[in-house]
Amino acid sequence: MRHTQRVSTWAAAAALICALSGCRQGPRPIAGADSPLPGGEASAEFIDRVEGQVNVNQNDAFRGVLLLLESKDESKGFGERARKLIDRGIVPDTWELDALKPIRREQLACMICKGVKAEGGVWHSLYGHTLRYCLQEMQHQGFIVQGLGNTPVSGSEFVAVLARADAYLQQGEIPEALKPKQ
Amino acid sequence: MRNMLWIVIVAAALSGPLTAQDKPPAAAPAAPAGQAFKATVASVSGSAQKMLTTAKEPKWEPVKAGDQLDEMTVIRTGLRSKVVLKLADRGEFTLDSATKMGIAELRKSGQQVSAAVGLKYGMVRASVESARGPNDVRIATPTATLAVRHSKANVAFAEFGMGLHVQQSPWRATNNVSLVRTFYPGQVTNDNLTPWNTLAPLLRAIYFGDHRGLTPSERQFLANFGEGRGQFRFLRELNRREFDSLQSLYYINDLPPCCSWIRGIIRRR
Repeated sequence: MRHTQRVSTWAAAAALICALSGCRQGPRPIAGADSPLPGGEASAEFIDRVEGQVNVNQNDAFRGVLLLLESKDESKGFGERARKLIDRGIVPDTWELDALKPIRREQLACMICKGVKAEGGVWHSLYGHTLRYCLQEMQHQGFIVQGLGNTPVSGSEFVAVLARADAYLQQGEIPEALKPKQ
Repeated sequence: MRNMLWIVIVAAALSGPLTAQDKPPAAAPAAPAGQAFKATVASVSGSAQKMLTTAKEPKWEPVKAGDQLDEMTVIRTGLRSKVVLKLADRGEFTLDSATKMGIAELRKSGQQVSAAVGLKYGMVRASVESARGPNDVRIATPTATLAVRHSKANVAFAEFGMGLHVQQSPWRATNNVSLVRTFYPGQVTNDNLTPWNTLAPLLRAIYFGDHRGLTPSERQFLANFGEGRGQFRFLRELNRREFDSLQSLYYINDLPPCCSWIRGIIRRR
């Protein structure tokens, strides 16, 4: 009886330490790391191709973010693309990475928030770049329209968010005409 | 009874040739009046491509400064890109990054210049000048058409629909349900052509204390009265520029156009 109590106490303590220290899993494997995208695709061509898609997958989304931040994407596959963004700190290595999986709104918000180095509010500053507060911050600043975080991103929404982020990086603000009007 | 019979026979005789008649061929779209002219590409930066849709084998080609663009040309830009198009001596269109626009009409009839473009996505900064003659410039988006003779404005089409931000002189907008409304400098609107004084409060940040989402009526309430449920406050303080723009949306545009000097005083306040 006493032994059981001791074990459960240690288990509770371990769980508490894990929770407080932000116990994380290691980097997850990248699914579809070899998935290619059209090679030598110009930025204008990429934007036009993606705009008509119902949902944007992670492979296209990562290419879009790389084009936004580096003006080029010479990665050979999804794995290399994801690795570049992980190395830059744009994508956390704890995300479930799959080339064909649709990118979610909160994930896109998180990437853009880090990409444009947006300063957040109190909770965003306290908790860091969590999906939740990145989405709220991006909605607040007019990068993304209001909506749920776990829904997939449509092509037109993705292109609009990239256009706003691009304008923000170039001019320091989003043009009034491009801001969501709800 | 005999009269009735005659009426039926005459009606049948009259309707026969008409029903047997072949349907007239669909009328070909009338060519726009006037002489076609070309738009000149004044400058290009980043990735931009064009396609002449009336060519035998339409294909995308890079846009270069100095290119002459015909009617029915489509242009698309990528990220970190910009294309400036000159419309003879009557103004220019600046295509921002991630934009696709088609030129439907470029006509000159005497002194009158007509231009019609279609914006599929992205943003165009239009600047139309009437110093050298009358203009009829139209920008069509999937949800609304904007017409102007002399003005400057930014027109965008994105996932939320159309966005119009007028910068100089009035713009007349017609949306898909044939609602017509005119917007003045400083005003913004969407594809429902929502009046600026209804839209402006909603553009403020009212989501900060929002944990589980707000209903549209709650959002409207917060927009109108600025308070609501939440531990802290919903409305963050506006910075100086936002405050000024809100002030200008609320007050400055109520003034008639002749009172530009009053606008200056209010802006400086």
